[in-house]
Amino acid sequence: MITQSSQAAPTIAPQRAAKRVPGEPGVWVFILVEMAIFTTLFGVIVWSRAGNSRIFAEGQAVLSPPLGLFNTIVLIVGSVLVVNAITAVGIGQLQRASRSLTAAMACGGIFAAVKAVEYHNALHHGLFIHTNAYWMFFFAVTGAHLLHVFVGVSVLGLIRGRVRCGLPGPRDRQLFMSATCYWHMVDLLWLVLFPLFYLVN
Amino acid sequence: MSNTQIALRTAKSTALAIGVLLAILTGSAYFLGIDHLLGFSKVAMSAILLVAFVKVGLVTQFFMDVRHAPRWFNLLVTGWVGVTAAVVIGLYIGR
Repeated sequence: MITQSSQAAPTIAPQRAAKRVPGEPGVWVFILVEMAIFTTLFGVIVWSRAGNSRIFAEGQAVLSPPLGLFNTIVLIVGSVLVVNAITAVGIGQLQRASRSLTAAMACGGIFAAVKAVEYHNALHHGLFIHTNAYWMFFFAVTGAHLLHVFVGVSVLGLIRGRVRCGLPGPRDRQLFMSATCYWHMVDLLWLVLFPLFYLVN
Repeated sequence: MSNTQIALRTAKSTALAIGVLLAILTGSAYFLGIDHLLGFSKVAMSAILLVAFVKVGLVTQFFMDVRHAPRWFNLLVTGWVGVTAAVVIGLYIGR
């Protein structure tokens, strides 16, 4: 399954001689398990909503949809930056790739800062994780997602140093692609959480 | 310009185009949800969720580059998107 080696051509993404899993297959097992866990969480949220529609509507009224929209756009921009980093590595522009990764990490930081504002607003209204079902799901699930954002920023930060050096190690390219896929997973999970918590009423 | 450079430039343009498409879809779902252009109907809310999973599909295919992965892997990831969409939208409509 792993076909890339230290002697692989510098191009990563667009020109593949043979189709292969993007990144480490082991990391993809982890990503798929994570996504399956979130499938369960999405289902439980929708299931619970049906029996607590008033509580969910009241909870949504406290949230600021523009902040949720802003954070969604921030994560999309972060994902485009990560793809740009892959492209830059492919043409040997390592500094540019490093800058793209730094900007993507900054997107993660902005997302976390906006989340902090939202949590502060909720707590300011006297709403806590034990207040009702809506706030339990909001704090627990968006908190778990925020933890993934921190992990995503960390893995991009860890691989950024290797990118600057031209990914010299035998497994560096696989690890780089794995880090980018993890980042995109963080993005796609939020793409579902955003409508569930902010839009669907 | 070499074929590799052309391919890489195309990849960059594709990523930007998908990013813009994701932003447009996000904005559309936002106004559908906030302004209730189709009311509070289950159809409108289901449409918002469907758009979300279309976006998830775009991220997996174009950003995670699953479209260049082996067929079995693409089916696995696309299967997750489909099953999750069916669970979420099905529970929303059915409950």
